[in-house]
Amino acid sequence: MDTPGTRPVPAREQDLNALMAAYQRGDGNAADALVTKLSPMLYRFLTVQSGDRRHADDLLQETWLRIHRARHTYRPGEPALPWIYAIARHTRLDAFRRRRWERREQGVLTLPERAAPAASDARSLPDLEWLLAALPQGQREVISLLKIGGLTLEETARATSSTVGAVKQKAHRAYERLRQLLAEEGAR
Amino acid sequence: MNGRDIDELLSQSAVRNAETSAPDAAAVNRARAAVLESLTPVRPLPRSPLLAVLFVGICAAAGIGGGIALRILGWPALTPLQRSAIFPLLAVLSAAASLLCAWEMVPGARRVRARTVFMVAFASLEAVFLLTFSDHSMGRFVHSGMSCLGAGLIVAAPVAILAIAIMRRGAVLDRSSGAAAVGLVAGLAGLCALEIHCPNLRVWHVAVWHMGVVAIAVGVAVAISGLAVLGGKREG
Repeated sequence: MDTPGTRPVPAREQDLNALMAAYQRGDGNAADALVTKLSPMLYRFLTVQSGDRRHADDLLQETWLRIHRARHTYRPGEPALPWIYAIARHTRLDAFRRRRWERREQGVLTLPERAAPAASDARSLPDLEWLLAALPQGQREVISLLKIGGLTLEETARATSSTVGAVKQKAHRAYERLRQLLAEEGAR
Repeated sequence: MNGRDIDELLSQSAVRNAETSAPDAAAVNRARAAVLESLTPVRPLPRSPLLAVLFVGICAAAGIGGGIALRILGWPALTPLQRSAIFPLLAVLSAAASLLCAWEMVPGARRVRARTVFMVAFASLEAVFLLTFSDHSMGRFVHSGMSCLGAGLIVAAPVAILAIAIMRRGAVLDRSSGAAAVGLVAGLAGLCALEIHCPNLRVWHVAVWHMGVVAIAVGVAVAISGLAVLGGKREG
């Protein structure tokens, strides 16, 4: 597997770190810029994780509220992205557990299957959500952080409270699973 | 397809996903308004090593203070080998547990799992007790054990309360892991107090009842955090 080298991040990390530091100082322009720059990326991360775009909008708002409440825990000079994605990840996990709990209370034992996107998408360039929907939760999370968030292996490990070795292993297994999936699709 | 092809495919799909998938503008505006509405300057949390020193200080003060308050009967009864094996190990493990508490307060900072530290702490302490203590008799096993367990937990409780008060200054994302870290610091304080106080040097007394303080402190802390999470879900 190749280590992701490019970062499809709209803002350079140094800018993000500087914006975070200004946000802590109460700079409204910095807060505004952070919301504008990071929301699309966080939304995509939450969408591929939850498989539900409307739900991802709610999660995005919840994530920003949590980021706001926890902003004093960001250390100026440290990479901002693992800090931000760790919060986003736990927002999604908490929401998932809450929904599962509600469904259990209502007597529904399993969550519905994630809907696959239209098959026509897979014919040209496969849709990212379609590709990631085929992966187990842990692998999907790692690949979305690497590819959507543009995090390095080390940053992904920090965002997921894991180790670089575990992240590499999940990414490797995800690539194997995707290779199988695409081979099966090609054979059809 | 090889790994490079998959990597390329994922990168291209991510770029296309970025072009076609955007959050609802109203949702972003609501998030922005909520952030700007209550925006005030905040002081960043101190560095993790500094916070860890605070946790170590509380643990050491409670462990040594608790041992003195309970009466120093164990320290003179221990051999120099036992002292030099037990107390430095307790210091190292307390430092590790304290650093874990400090990491848990900062999102994206955790590098080691609380479960791993707990298992290493438990195994290494049990190994030291089994290797350095030689009296395998079981006299008054339950009676003397219960009084030590109670005394250790009495020392551990205030440490846990103080540690939780400090951790609330941060943003603990994984409550059960944070609780395990707090329980470990508190349990080690209780164990330290018992090693200073308790003159009972029977292997099974120490391995079961003294170490029981650590296990119970971690277990109770994790159980309470689980109940708090459950309560939160019920409230919706």
